[in-house]
Amino acid sequence: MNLHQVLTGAVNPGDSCFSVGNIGDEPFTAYASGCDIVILASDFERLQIIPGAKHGNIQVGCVDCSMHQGKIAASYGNIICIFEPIALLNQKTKHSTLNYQWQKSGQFALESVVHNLAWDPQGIRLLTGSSSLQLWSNGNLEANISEEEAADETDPSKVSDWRCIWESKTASPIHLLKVSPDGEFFATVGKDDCLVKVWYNSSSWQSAVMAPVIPVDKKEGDIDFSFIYLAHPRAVTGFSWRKTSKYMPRGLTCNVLLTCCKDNVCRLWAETLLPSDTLISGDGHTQWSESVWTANNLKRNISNREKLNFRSFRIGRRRSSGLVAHSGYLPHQQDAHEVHRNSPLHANSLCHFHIAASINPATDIPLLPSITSLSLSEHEETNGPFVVHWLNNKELHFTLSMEVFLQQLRRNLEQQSPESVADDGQMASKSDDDPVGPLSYSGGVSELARINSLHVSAFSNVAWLPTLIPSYCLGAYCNSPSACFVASDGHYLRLYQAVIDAKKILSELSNPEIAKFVGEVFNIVSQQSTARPGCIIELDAITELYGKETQLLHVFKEDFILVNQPKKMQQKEGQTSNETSPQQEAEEPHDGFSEKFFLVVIEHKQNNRSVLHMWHLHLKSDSISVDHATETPLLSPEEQNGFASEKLHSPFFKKYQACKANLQSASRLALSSKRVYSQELALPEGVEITRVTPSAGHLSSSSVHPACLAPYLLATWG
Amino acid sequence: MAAVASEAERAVLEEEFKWLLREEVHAVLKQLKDVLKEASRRFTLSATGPEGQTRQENFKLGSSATDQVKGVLTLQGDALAQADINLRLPKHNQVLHCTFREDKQWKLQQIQDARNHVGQALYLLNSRDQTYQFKSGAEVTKLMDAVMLQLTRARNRLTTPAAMTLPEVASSSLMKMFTPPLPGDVFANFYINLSKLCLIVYQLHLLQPNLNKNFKPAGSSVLHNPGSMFEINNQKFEVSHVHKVECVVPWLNDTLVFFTIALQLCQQLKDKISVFSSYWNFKPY
Repeated sequence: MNLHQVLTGAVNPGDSCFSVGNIGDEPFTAYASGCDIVILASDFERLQIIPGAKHGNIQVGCVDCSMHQGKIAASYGNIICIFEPIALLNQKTKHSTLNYQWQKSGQFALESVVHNLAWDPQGIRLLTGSSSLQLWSNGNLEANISEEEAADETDPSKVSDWRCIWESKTASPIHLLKVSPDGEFFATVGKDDCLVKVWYNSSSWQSAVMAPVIPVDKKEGDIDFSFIYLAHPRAVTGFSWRKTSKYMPRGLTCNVLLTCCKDNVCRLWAETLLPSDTLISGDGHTQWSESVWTANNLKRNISNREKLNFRSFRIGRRRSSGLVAHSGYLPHQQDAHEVHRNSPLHANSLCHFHIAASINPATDIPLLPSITSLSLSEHEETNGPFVVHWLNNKELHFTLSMEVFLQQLRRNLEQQSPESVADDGQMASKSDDDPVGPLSYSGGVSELARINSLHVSAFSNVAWLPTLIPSYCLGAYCNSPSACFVASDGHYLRLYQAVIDAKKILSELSNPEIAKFVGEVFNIVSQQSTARPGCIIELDAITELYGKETQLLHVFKEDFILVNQPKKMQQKEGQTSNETSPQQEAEEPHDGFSEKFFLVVIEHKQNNRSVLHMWHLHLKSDSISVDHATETPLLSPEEQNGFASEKLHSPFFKKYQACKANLQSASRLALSSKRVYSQELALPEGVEITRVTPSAGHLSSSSVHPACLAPYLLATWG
Repeated sequence: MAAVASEAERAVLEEEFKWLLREEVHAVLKQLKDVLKEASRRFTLSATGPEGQTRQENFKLGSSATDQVKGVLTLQGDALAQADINLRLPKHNQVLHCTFREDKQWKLQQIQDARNHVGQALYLLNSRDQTYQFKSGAEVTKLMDAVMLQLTRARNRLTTPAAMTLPEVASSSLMKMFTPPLPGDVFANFYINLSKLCLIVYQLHLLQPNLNKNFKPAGSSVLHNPGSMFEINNQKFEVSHVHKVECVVPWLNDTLVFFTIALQLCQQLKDKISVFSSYWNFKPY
């Protein structure tokens, strides 16, 4: 057998369950789906699935990828696993540019469930947000990067060396956490929090300024972060940093944070950058000169002095002497001239952000209908949150230009080097994708509809009825067959009908005027997934669930064990259905749909015993009757129409008539069920069933012309 | 409407403020103490070395433009222990070599005052140790204001030399400290300007009394320009040349950086506290 297709589930809800990373220059996407992590290449071709079974089948909370080495950090509850890509050299892989497999390279546990993860841009340190904010570092990597003597040279197997190098217990748990593209800052906000905290590394100025004399109480390599508040009038719902190109030298462009707030105004907070000289004199002059002091006038001296001294410490936050924290500026080693020469280096100081712009949809976007007018009530929740996203067009343009430039540079360099490259690479190898079957031509399996349920046990077992409901049962609504399945919705064992192409039903349902009529007939419980939607209709319940565990759910046709009866039954059914719906169109077959099945349920009870239940199911189609009070099923549609024509021919009425006609062409599936068996399985003492499967069943040829009755066998594992 | 806050937001803000008073204030105070301890250490280190012996630093003052005034000043803590000046002035033929008299030191009041202010700021900070619980934002703001005042004064002392009139320069005891004594038409003055130690030498000439020149005595200034006039003992003088030479004192540079950082830390904390008072007139703030 050939593997045709592996279906990956949907992304876990939330904004932190997916991330884009880079290995070198190649981007990839990693997202969490249930307990697994799925890794996709840049064309969304699936590269790898990291199964959740290896990590105890815990749902993945959040995922983040690093920007250069392609590392993936994922959280399973309170455990974080780090995966690193290993290059595959000899194996032939499907993807041409990304020949990597991710393997676990480290793991560490936190005290509580992790909600956020963020790598620093170099991929060495990891920020985690749980009940407290922590910074984790892999000791080995730090040692290598800083080129000190590797402490663990003799122990290369000591891979998982992650330790927490900084922690801050914030007042409320972290809800959002994002690192700026140059790694200088990271921003956090809690739930219902009006204050965004922008954190910066405060040990950079400490170490640079106090380098000659290290204070006794500070360990070497101690790291510390301080923060500033960005105050908003309401709670902050989201924020994002402006993307800076990786080719942009550090410190050349300022970091900008865009925040979205519940008051429907988005604000842009930009880093305040001032020239480098202000650290010593504490003022905003670019060139400190002594011309000030040579002034004769006393009064002028004083006023200048005041300006110089107090400009820095104005209470308003718009202009301040805060500078970007940067690395390595030892004041006593440089004289005034050197300071000016190294002007791109900003002096060490604290961080400051100011509001550069704000976007209010009500006043700043003239063509957009006012968001507040869409809300029907005063309640804030009906206002959709106003969110602005970065276009990052400048970064994109810059990066593309730089890459073109680098490519040309490389080409020039290559041309200059001697032509010694062998032509091996020119042989193109053609790899055939062997199509497995007809499915591969239509693109494989894709999702049509889905049902969500809050119950944990809902839909954990599903048994399909081995029959196709013919399309005439849905009449004008559908021209494709549908199928039924039995599943538990948490309360009952219920029958559901899955319709492949339910566009017409759904379009009628979306019309609020006639929806209630359609809704009475078809109880649709699914959510749509694609442009060609399917739907799932809830039908009758079979039984209330007794126990918590269903080990087997299986449906098979009555014919398998009761061979003699079918023909008679079908004829009888044909008669009755003819009586009940005489006015069906000529092209329909005379009998409505009617089939019988047996449903077998094996239930695992609390006392470790298993009980087998069996129901007899009779599924048949009943024609739909609308306007119960005014008509009987025997009225012909023409008569109904005549009756109705007395009423006003409003557009609603026309629609209603059309709807009625549609409804009447369809039939509702009714289920009658009867329990026929319910007994504990006779098992030897101390034996418990763990798994059950039917071992003989719908062998197609034998079911049409059964030579003998196939025994119904169940295979159990105990 | 959208400006009306929800209960949850208020509760979060309240928790945040409590956390700020409880944890963050002490963290900032610790940072401040570290910075100012470093700053005050610079003052003492300049006078005494690591083992306690007296330490002196020599600073060569000279200007690249002319060779007229050169000096080597020895700074010990906040006092000039020795000043070795070479004057090659146009009026005199030979080079004047003047030094301080034995056992005479010229106290640089600026440095001493700055050091005292730093000490005062540290004292204020140490009065609130780790276990102290701040009751309100106003209390923190008051403490920060007091510390900032001391630091600003310390900075000002270093950035603002005293302005003196020329008669004051003439009559200062500095003039009497040199041996051999400075010629009568040469004045000298020292001061600290930001992180630089400066030596000013004024060359004067006597104004003839009968010359009908507009006599306007110059006022106080840190640095007097050529052409400034003054009168001493019924004799009028005019400044003909001004020579200024300077040298950067590295540890003064460091302390100025520390002052700026400390002031910014204080301001940042004040800003963080004041953020809360702008929310819905919340009373406890």
